[in-house]
Amino acid sequence: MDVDQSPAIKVKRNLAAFEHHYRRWVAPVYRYFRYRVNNTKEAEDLTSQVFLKVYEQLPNYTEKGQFPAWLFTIVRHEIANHFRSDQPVVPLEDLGLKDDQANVLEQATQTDDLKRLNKLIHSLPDSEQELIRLRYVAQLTYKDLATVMGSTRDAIRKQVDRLLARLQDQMEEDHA
Amino acid sequence: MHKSDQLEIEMKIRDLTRVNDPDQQFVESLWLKIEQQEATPVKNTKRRSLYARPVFIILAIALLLVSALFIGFGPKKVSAFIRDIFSSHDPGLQEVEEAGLVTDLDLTTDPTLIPTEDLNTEPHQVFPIGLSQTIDDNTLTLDWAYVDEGRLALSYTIEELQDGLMVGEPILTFTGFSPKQHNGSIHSLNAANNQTFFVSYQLIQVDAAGESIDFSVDLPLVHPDDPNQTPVAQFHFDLENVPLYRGFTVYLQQIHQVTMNGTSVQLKSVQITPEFTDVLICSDPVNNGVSLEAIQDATFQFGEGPTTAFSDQTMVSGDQGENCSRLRFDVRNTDGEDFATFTLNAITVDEAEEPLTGPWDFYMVIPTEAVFDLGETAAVTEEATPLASQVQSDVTVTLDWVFVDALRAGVGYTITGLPDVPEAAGLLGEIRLNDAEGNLIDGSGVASSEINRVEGEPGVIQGSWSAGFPEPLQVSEIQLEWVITLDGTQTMYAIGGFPRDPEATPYPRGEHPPYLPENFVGTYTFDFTAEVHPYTALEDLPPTTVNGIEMRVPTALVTPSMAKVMVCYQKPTERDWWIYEASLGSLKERSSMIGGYVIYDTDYTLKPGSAQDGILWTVPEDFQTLEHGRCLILNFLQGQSTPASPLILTVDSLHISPPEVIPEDELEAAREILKAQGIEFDYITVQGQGGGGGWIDFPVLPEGMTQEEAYQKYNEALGYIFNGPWVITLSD
Repeated sequence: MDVDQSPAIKVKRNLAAFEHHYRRWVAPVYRYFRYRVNNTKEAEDLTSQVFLKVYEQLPNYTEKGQFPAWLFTIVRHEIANHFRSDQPVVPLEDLGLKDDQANVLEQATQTDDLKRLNKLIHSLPDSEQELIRLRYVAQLTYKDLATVMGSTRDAIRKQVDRLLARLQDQMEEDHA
Repeated sequence: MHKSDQLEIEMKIRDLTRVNDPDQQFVESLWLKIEQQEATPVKNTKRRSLYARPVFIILAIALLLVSALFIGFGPKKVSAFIRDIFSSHDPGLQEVEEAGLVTDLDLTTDPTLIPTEDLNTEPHQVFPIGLSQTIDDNTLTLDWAYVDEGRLALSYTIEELQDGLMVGEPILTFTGFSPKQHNGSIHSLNAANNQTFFVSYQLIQVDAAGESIDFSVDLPLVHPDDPNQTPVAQFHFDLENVPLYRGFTVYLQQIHQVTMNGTSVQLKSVQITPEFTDVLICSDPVNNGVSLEAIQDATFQFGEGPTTAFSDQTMVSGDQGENCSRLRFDVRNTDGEDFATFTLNAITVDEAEEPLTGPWDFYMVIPTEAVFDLGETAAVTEEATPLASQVQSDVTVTLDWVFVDALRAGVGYTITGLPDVPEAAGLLGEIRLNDAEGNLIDGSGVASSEINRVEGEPGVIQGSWSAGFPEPLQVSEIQLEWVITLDGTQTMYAIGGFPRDPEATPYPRGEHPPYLPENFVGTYTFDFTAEVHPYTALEDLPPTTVNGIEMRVPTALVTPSMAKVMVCYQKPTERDWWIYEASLGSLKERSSMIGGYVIYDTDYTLKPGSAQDGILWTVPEDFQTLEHGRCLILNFLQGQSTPASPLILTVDSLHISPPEVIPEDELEAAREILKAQGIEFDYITVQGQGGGGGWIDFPVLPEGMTQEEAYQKYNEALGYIFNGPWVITLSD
């Protein structure tokens, strides 16, 4: 056995396990990006970049464990880079027929309640918006959410419960 | 916050944040790209893994050579071959010899064939289990098992461990065979996610044990400072038909025995916890061993981190009578290393003499999720895989299967250990289903429970039970808690009744059949995570008109196990015209509706757009202006797992309930109609302070007509029934 080949063997060994991870996580990652960038093509590009990056760094992963945490670290890094990059500011009327147009129409038909809630969510601190994105957009379980956020499941669940209670209270206050 | 408020706001957030899943074509093409990267050279890692270490590579080669030689030449010739190797000038092999790494060979007088499969074999998938048991608020979930000819691995998670307790080393008991050459174990808890891996090294040959094995796992709760690990309580799982793979198919290694300067020491077990690491070593003084009573110097090292000396030592007895010593190291695997080294440096044999010095080095791989192919572990929970058993007061409840779809959850279970009472009418107790937060899932009008005796197995009861969800699940998997209490001390709650033999002699008036159990037995709690099968929504199905009444299905939700169908129609009058009988199914097999409720009625206060069951059932706009319009939601325990055969909804008739006392003129009119058909009836009424009532007797009936048929004719004559049938096919 050639000693120098052993890292390659290690990667090969992980590919089967990685396919499981890929199929488990590709949809949550895509949904997260799709929600953030509001464009299918860009969401697909970002998803591709993340999984190709993850694959490339696979040998490092075996030494770290906790795949969701590792994956979403890369996801969040990628989205931060995406928003940091110099994107030209395009006037609204020049946007053309992006596929988020359907969402705009959808928003127009939203009930007042949903509009209020949407506004409230967007006024939350980014960390809480992120919690909502990971829980309801990416649809992570509390267990995975805890791993990603570096917390315990109970703590995360309480955090989400408190956030929902606060949003509910604010909605009721608005009604009053 | 009230639970309903939380659900409501969660639904709204889900509405706001809903985005589509990725296109399947994109998912597959991206995976192809990833696979193609395999062909490209892989960057070297910063540090070589344990497998890259010469000692392991040499060990692997040595094992393969030896196994091949055993097969080809037998043990005597092999010994000669090894002596030849070690007399050569190969420095690597000399190092192996000096380290005493191959001294195990002479331990077995009846050599077992060592698996010869190449270590590069792709790992097989783990065998998913995914069930939980709770003892005194400590909930343990056995996630999966994995067995090849050299390793048995288990993964479990424990969520609520009482302070001061930990899970001791799992105890394995095999059915029908005995493993050979137990070569130690490792038990490692990942503090970050409470996931624990246990790997036991032994030989279990496919040729001897078959391609699947049965075994039980006992996981004791112990006090961390108890050197003997005496169980305070014990989780127990019986596993059946766990696949046994040929060869060594996962990358796990652990050195079991090292002989240095003629002294052999065996590594029996390693336990890695978030607080400390325990190592159990043994030595047999009769067989090249030494007393381990006084360990002078021993260290433990995670990865290539610092070495830590032991802080405590306790002598314990070994399984085979050898003397053993448990060493505690106050060191944790904080960096998530995937290998470790235990080194025994010096043993004091006699105070007056120089200590025996090593080092006796033991390398071990720390099991992690990455080592295993986890596959789709949740997907199999719908199948009859071996699930968990619990025993209380000598009565065992085994959860045989679980099934969850967006509308309903069901379980199958077996009870053994109750007395065999053939005349028992049923089972007393209670079944509950809770969500992950412990909230009761009350069925929302959808529930079923059946129990049956098992033929040829006296005292064995099999049951199935299900409950509907308060709103359709929108998640791909769900964690649930199923709780069954067997309690004969109360008669308010029955789990189910046994099917009655129609030929059996009825009990005399005033006497009642017995029920099982006689006393309180216990409460059994099973936690499980299951894949959620989604529902299919069918909308705006073609309407049908019979006897001038149009019936339509604006929406139907269909899962593999049930259907919720919204049915709208124009009532013949303003009264409470209800669907009394309806069925759903194929042409061959049909299931009657199990209930329903009104969601919209022009003549009552219910208005269109009511949210029920977490669903916004929308009444068609043109229907909202219709006179006497009504919409119902009907529940059927009939679903569709494949679209091959469309479901057919049949509504037999519309009914209104008769008033408490039917007016005399209506009765007379009906009497005339029925007389022409050869039917005569007596209507008997009573009046009292609490109200009145009436019933019907049919003294004259045409030959062959049943009372039931006559009652139908009676209702028709009174105008309380409007006959269909209305038949609507539920398909896209």
